[in-house]
Amino acid sequence: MKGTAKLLLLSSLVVLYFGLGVVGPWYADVPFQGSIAALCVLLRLQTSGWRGLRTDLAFLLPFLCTLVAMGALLDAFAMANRTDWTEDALCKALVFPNSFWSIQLAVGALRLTDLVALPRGVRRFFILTHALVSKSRPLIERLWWLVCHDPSLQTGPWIIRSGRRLTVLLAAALIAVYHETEATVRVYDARMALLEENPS
Amino acid sequence: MNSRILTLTLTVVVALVTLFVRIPLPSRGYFNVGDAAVIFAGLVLGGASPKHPLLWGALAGGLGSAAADILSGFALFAPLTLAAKGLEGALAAAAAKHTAALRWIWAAVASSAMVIVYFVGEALWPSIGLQGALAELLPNLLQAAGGTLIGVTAFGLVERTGWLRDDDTAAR
Repeated sequence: MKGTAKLLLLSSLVVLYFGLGVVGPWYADVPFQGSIAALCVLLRLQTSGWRGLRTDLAFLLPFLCTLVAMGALLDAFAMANRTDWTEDALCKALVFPNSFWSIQLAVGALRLTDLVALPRGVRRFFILTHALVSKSRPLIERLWWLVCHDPSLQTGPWIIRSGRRLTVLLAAALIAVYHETEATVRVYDARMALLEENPS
Repeated sequence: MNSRILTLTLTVVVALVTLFVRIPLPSRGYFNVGDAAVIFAGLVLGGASPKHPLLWGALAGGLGSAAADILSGFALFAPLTLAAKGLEGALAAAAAKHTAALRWIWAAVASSAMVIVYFVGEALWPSIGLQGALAELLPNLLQAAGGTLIGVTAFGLVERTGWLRDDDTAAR
């Protein structure tokens, strides 16, 4: 499927689900939400396997438990004169994983080549950001390693030590990544100019 | 100093620092130190950009944090993050030209604005609601306080290096 069509299809599916199942008439429809959940789990298993599903559940389950606990707490205090907080929380506990998975599946289905169809300025931003994130991530990891091993940042309680390290990391990362950005922008512009001069 | 290159740089720094330290949270997603980077980005852009510093601050803070949400699989929160962190970045940019004491106050206002936008956004979000928003409030306040402290201190550090006033950097 071509980039534009794929982008349109994925965004339409997400908007359709949110329109019907999150803010629309099927919000509290248990069979509908259950079917969507089953479909999402199957697709997640197909794309990321058991490991991906386990990671999702590790994120979702504590949230869902807190959500239900907060609902019960609000019910106990009859907050805003309502007595349906727990019921509402259980509904959310069914809808939230679906909305989480629907976006995650849509974003996961996008490839860099699909972005070629985007307008020139947006494409430039995405490609430059993609390149910079790939180049700067190891740079920041190296800086963090250095900061963590600096003898002057080894003293004090954990929270003070971590704060000071992060402060130094931010200042060092700005200067290092700025020079990386300048170089990347120069290379991108030169390559685009060359491609426009010699399209073949 | 080239504002566009500086904004792109800080967008990437915000995204990477947000991704760097993450502690999973029961509600919104994860506790991160991205707020420190957002405040820092706003202050740097406010101090270095002669034109539209608030816009650049909002772009770096909002887009960097939203990109981190998308890259880490929490794309659901990206629109809310874009609004909350964008506002935080813009208000932090407004703080840069003030005196040290006022800068701290502006940065605290910026962080508080982020907490309020998240709270209202989550309370109105159909699948999160008031329960989720309340559960999120304390971690967000802690994140905001830490972010203000680290972001303003890091900006002071960069100011002391003279890098923002460097003729060689400014000429580029």
